[in-house]
Amino acid sequence: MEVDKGKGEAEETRKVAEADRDTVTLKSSDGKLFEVSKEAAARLSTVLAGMIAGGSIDDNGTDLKQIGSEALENVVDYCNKHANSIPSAALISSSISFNTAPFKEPEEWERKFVDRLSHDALFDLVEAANFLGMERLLDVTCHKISEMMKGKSPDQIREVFNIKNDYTKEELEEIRQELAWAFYDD
Amino acid sequence: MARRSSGKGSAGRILLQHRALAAAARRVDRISSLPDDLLHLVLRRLDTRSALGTGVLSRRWAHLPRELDALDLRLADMLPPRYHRWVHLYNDACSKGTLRHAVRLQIVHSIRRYERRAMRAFASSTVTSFLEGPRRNVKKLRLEFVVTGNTGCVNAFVAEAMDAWGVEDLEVVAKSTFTRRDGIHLFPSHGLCEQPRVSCLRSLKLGGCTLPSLHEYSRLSVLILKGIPKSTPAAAYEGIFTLCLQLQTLHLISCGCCTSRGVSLTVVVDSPSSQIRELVVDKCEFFRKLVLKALPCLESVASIQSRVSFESTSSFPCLIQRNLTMGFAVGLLGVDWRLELELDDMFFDCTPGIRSLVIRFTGPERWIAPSTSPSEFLPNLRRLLVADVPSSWDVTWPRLLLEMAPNLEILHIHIDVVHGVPADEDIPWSSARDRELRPLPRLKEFVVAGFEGTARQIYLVKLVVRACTAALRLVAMFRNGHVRYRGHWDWEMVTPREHYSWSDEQKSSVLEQIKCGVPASSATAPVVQVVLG
Repeated sequence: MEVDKGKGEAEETRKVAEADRDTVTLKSSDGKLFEVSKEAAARLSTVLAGMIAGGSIDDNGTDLKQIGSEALENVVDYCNKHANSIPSAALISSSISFNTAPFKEPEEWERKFVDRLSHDALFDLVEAANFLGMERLLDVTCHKISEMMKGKSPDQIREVFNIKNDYTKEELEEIRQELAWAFYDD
Repeated sequence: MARRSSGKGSAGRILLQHRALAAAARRVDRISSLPDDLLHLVLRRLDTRSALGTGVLSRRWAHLPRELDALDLRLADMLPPRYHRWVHLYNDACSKGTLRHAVRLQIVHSIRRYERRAMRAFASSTVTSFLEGPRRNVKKLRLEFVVTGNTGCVNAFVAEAMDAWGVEDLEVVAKSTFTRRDGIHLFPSHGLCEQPRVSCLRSLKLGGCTLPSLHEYSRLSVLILKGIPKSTPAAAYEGIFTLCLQLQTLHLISCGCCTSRGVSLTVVVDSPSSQIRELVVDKCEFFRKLVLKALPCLESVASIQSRVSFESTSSFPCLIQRNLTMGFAVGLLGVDWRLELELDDMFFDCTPGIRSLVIRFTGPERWIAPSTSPSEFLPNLRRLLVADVPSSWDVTWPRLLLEMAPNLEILHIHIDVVHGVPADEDIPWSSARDRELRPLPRLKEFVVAGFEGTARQIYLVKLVVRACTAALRLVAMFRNGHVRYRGHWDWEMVTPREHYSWSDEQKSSVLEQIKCGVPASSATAPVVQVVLG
């Protein structure tokens, strides 16, 4: 009896300890496990927040079948870095929407974080962020993609992203007409 | 048949091979397989011209530009590099004074010709891309152009955007042609669009335009007017307050109101049903003044180089933030440096609810004379910033305000060391200075930027510190440092990373004098931090 009781208590303590754990374990499509700060995961990802609140987090690794290990490693890295970074100053409480930046610019470390990614890793990360409902990370990655397009001609953009021009000559002429505003050149 | 450039040698071929290999390494077009909503996240971060231009990339992209929910169309995007080179040349030559009059006229003529040509392109491509193009779902539209004979299309476009597209956020900025100041865009007499009553317009910003009739836009809550011509009658401005009752934010910037003889007029604001919460009057030098009689919801008001007064019998119970930036620098500079602003002219008795107050001195009105009947005008004031105080002026005068604000928690004073009047003459303040301040039992933080350790500055710091009690946490004086404004009513003191190198002697002398007034620490009151940087 006493032994059992002791065991029960130990079980209880273990459960409490798990509920109190400040990390969650995530499993990539290829079976690799990653630990991430629970607080950061819940704050940055609406999907993970829902899973944590709904108790559907698996201690042996929550399966994220859509995300490869490289992308998941970047997601986890981003969350952990975010948990350690100092939150930036509160936004200006102005009621005027004009002339204020519509997007919050990425912070220096976020810029560096996406700059080091390869072309494919960047897109894997965009897709992972989209799947996990990570608005801030989507902002940061989409900002990076837009930077890759800025100041480039359509031909240059096609080259950077490997986009195949499948318009016929007539179609292209038509769409250029529609987009006359973009193609006026003195 | 492709033409080959004869100059392309082996280096060019190697580069091509290299590029082909790199492309082969990642043959997949990753971006085109992203869902539309993510591509829109990318396009929203591009300027409108580039975002529209992505429509030609491939069929996958064709519909995306039609779905853009914000368009920012500027004439500047149509002006060729040659235009900018001419402008640069002109400005450069004018500053050096090396240009003959005839040549100068010729350059101005060319520059204006570029503007007219670009404006024709602006008009014609606006028509083909937007008026004749697919119906759009644009929420935010910004137009910036130069007033020439071609601006008729702007009115048609604005009407289409409001009637058919349901634009919520509209900005129309008209500028004068090069070196001119008189270009004003005229809206049609019937107004901005055909069906104002069903319009979705929430926010409107007009620059360099005539003031259209706005009272029928029942959702309009933000209105920003800039450079509205002087010929606009006072009644037109007054009508904004009394007829646009749903407005919550109104900014008047560089707007004018004069008679045909150039006599500036008074605008009286008397609208007991108005919902305006935020009012900014900025550089409206051509208003004689703006008199506030009734604006019952007003919470924040900023008067910047403009005369705004409160009718003495009125009350503004919701008003909690105020920015008072004085200075009519042009032409008045050096005429009367000792221009006094009576404390009574600040109308604090009409606004007892103020919690946050910014007072800036950027012109001759640098002086506040004591009121004839001092009383507790600012019982709710928590945060006070007195900024741009010239270094030669007696910095002790804010005591007038301190006497009126017994509940102050944060006091920031910024002395303008850079732009201050040369200190060949120290200008004293006439008020009695030997009297102690009334206690400031809630003052937590007292920061002086631009502190040079002059006798008067030390006197002020000692005076304030002696009036403090156990609430005090920080007393800081920085030689270098400035104010960073966050909007009109919020600010932070920016202190340099590297402190000024005071000599040991100065440092110990200043700190000793100040520390003796600091309230003693005890079990309940932690140590007060005293910083000299």
